[in-house]
Amino acid sequence: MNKLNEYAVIGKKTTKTDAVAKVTGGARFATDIYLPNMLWAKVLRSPVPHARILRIDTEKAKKLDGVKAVLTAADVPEARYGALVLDMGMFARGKVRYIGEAVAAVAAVNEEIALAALKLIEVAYEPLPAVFDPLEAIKPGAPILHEDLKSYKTLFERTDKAMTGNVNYQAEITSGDLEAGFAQSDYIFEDSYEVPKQHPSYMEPNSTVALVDSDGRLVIHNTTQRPHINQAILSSLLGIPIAKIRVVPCHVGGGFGGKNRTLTEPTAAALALKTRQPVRLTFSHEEEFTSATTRHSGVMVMKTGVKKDGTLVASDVKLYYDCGAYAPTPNAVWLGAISSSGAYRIPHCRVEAYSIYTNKMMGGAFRGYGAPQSNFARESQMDRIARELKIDPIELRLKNCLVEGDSLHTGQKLHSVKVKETLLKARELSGWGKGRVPANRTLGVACGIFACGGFATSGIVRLNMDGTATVATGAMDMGQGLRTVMGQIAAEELGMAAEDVTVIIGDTDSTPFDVGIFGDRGTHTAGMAVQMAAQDARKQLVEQAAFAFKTTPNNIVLGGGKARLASDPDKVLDYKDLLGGGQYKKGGPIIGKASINLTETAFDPAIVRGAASRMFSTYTFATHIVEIEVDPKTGVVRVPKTYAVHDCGTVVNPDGLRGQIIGGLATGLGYALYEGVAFENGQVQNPSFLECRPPTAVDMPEIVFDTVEEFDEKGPFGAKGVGNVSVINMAPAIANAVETATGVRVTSLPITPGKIVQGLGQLAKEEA
Amino acid sequence: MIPLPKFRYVEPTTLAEAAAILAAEGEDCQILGGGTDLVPSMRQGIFAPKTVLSLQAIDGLGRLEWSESDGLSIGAGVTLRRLETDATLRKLFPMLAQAVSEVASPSIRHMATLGGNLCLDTRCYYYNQSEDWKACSDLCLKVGGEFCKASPGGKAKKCFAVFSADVVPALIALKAQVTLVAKEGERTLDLAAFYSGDGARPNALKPGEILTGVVVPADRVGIKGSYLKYRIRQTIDYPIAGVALALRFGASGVVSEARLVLGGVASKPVLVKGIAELLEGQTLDRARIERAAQLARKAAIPQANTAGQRAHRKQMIHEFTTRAFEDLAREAR
Ligand SMILES: Cc1cc2nc3c(=O)[nH]c(=O)nc-3n(C[C@H](O)[C@H](O)[C@H](O)COP(=O)(O)OP(=O)(O)OC[C@H]3O[C@@H](n4cnc5c(N)ncnc54)[C@H](O)[C@@H]3O)c2cc1C
Repeated sequence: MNKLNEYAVIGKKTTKTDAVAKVTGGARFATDIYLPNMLWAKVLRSPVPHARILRIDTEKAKKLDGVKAVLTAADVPEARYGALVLDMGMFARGKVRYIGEAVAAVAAVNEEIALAALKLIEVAYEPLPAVFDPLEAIKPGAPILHEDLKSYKTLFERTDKAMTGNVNYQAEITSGDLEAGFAQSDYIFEDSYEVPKQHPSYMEPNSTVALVDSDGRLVIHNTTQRPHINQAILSSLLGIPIAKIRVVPCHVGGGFGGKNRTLTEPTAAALALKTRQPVRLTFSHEEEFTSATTRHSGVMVMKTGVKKDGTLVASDVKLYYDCGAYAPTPNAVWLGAISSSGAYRIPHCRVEAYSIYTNKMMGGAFRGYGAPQSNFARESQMDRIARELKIDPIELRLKNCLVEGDSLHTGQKLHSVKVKETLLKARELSGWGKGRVPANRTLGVACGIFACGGFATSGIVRLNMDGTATVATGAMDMGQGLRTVMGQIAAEELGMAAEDVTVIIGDTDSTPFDVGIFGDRGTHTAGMAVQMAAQDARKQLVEQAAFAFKTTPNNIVLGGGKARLASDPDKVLDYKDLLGGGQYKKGGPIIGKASINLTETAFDPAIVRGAASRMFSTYTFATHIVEIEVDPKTGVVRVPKTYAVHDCGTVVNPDGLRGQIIGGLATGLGYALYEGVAFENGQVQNPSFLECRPPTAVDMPEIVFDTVEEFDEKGPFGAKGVGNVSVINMAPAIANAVETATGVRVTSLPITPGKIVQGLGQLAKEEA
Repeated sequence: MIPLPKFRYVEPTTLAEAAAILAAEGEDCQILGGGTDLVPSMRQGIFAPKTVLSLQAIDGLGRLEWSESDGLSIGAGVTLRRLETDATLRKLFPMLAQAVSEVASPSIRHMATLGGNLCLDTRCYYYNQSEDWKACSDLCLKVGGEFCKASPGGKAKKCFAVFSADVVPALIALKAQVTLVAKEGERTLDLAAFYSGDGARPNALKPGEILTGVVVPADRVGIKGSYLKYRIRQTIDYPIAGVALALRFGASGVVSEARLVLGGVASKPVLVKGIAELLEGQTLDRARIERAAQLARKAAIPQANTAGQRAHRKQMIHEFTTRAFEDLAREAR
């Protein structure tokens, strides 16, 4: 049940705590840091997609005036890192595997000298055959990127196909009896879909300033979604104890998953350790588009068996995700496999999901995390089924959608499932089937599921002498508003005003561990730890008050920054009087803490093989209906309006929720219509915002927002996430609307005007 | 961010002074208008002038004057923002205002100048890249390589970089004249003749010359015009196909003058041949419009050097030409 009315802070309009600092330019980002004696680092990158490194000569560069250090693989420990597959070192060692891979780095007194020094480094390459297409890369005889793959350390249970050839991570999900399922089906649909790489397009490039402080500790100022994991990776790469490393993130100029990475930190740190001077390494925007990480490109093959009445019976899915030359987070492939059955009950399922090496830039984490690809396939095919069976697309979805108590194809039993309600509400809002839409507009629908929350986190809540509270969380705010939400959660629990709570995030010295912000775990999981820590502090505060009032704790009521007696509400003490002057009447200073892991149950190995995680805390759902205009002559598609209905549990911060949804839809819109990293022989052809084309404000639709009432018992005050699921429906919804409007089914992204016009047969043969 | 290479910055206050500096320094000196193209290109290492000469302090380059005898005179230094908001220009030549307002984005138009748009370099996937990027494979023709990599088969010995300035097709459709000033003197030519069609050296500007402005002849008043631009997003993006159509209608809807200019589909703005012969003295009907659209489609030679399928860009030219004619025919009625 939703208890919004009972809350004083939760669900109330709250201005982001960092809004003023950001709007006035006061907020400090990593690139704002200039330190005395600071050196500038630059990275030499591979100009070839695949080659053996025969020789690297850094002597000339080292002799250039102003150069303080030059490093290559030979100068750093031979350690590798990665989330599931430990395949990447700080620098290419022995081989380069993509254009843009780091080969050497220079630290110099200024940027110009650092760049000049790069030109003096001589590298001799012996070219090797390269492979750029994931389906080519898994064929026998394809060039192999990682010859010693089998010997690499991994952090998942390997299937037979994992870590062989060019396949690194692999997962298989088998539920029910696939053969029997297809035998029972009246119709079988088999389709193949293709998607390009998409860049996260955060405005602020990756950046680190590293230094060794006067106590000999390594200090990192950076822009990141995962300070504590940065700390652990730096420790393993550099051989320094974790306690000797401090990561102090700055404000983050957008992350969207792309900063759930450790890219600039190790290089800057190694150079700072070598020179004992502060070192700054900031990527150029070109480096962002060639040497950071993107959403995985891939091919999805989907075979689905259906009864005449539209009941989904069987589904066989193969996901071939192209992770590029290294696999920093093949977890995206795992999440793609989870979302590949859509928000539907399908009794007989098989999913085979592959993460495949090619000689291209890396695939990593990006909002939607594996699901935009598989959901594009699932939701496109759902509309095809609806069309063939002459069933209304929303009816078909309603007939098959998951409900409370159903299990996913992974065997995980679900709670908090309101996808049906999102479909119904979106249908109502959009006037679907009611003929309310203007004649030149067409509706398209898609719904989706995304795993929400999990993994380890912790929180600390300290009550201060003046009656205020300081919350510490290792989770990061990358602009999504986590600081504000954490403050709201603690304030609600402690009976304080939101302004009286200050939230410290990220700094690994003052905050406890969090695994990083991804997978809708900010509000839901880190928020849960903060709520529990606040409950712990509250309990101690109640005891303090009971002692002061000489009564029992159950006679104490907290609220509005005051403690009162339940039996005599006129007896009141301000928190500051209870905590005042550090003169604690009973016990010591109040510190609440909590330490949790919301992914503790393993998947059933009879159903899931190669799981990249244990079972997720919960799942979030959403339905999006787009209203599009297609010009039948030019193929140009505009999306003037979108209805977004989310099942996100309790809404903690309504403006924050809207912000998240707007951002998610923008990413989804770009994926659907404009974006895509283009390659020629492994080289990125369009390494800029201008040519990669994330949507602008002008391209954005008017958005009608809504949520369905829901309370998820696993989240703080019933909250779930919204960051990922808001991305995954736009592309299929638009593709579906395009087919309704024009009769053309586009099965590859982006849905360009050229593809539509070609489908309409408007392009003369010789020109096409 | 890639740092700007070092250069000397000069800001002469007279045209004579500017011309003298240019004459002395030759190709080592480059002219700065609003810098919205020059500066990003310098960061990428495409240009590395020893001297950057700004025109902003020169009196007269900021003129925007209308007279019934001399027409509309626009100085090279006038910003696009001023052009698109100027009441006289909007009233007399709405197509021109329309074309200007399609350039880039509002913030860029506040900086960008007319001179910079007219002298905008041609663009290509293989050219508008950093030095490091280009070092990954053979250089293209425009930067000293052997072949145009964007040409069909990648083997042409001519550069096909694409002409992408939005304002130019509209000005050519309006028969604008352009004035170039050098130490030796000045010359005026048809704007259409200013463009060479060679992607490597897209215009007739000689070393030492400054484009000082354009004039739209007074007799162009009364012309009906339409500029339609195709780009991927609804703002910022360069044109990947554009159509500027200028028509004058006589009594009972007979076309007395017709000019059609294409942008974004060749290495220069393409003045479509045969349009005047086809239409002047005729009324517009479906068949003639279709014939004109076919001529336009044939004249477009888009290459794989920017966004969009080549075939689709040709088809857009066909469709936009048709629409431009239909729009103006409707207006004329
Ligand atoms: C993100 C982005 C999007 C863009 N989109 C578009 C678009 O949609 N359409 C479009 O047309 N343009 C576009 N542009 C390009 C550019 O902004 C415009 O063409 C603008 O009008 C250039 O004017 P400027 O004064 O800034 O030129 P500058 O950058 O100052 O100069 C451009 C070139 O012209 C030369 N030059 C400038 N003035 C003179 C002169 N008086 N005499 C001789 N040579 C001169 C310079 O030396 C330089 O080579 C875009 C640019 C960016 C960065």
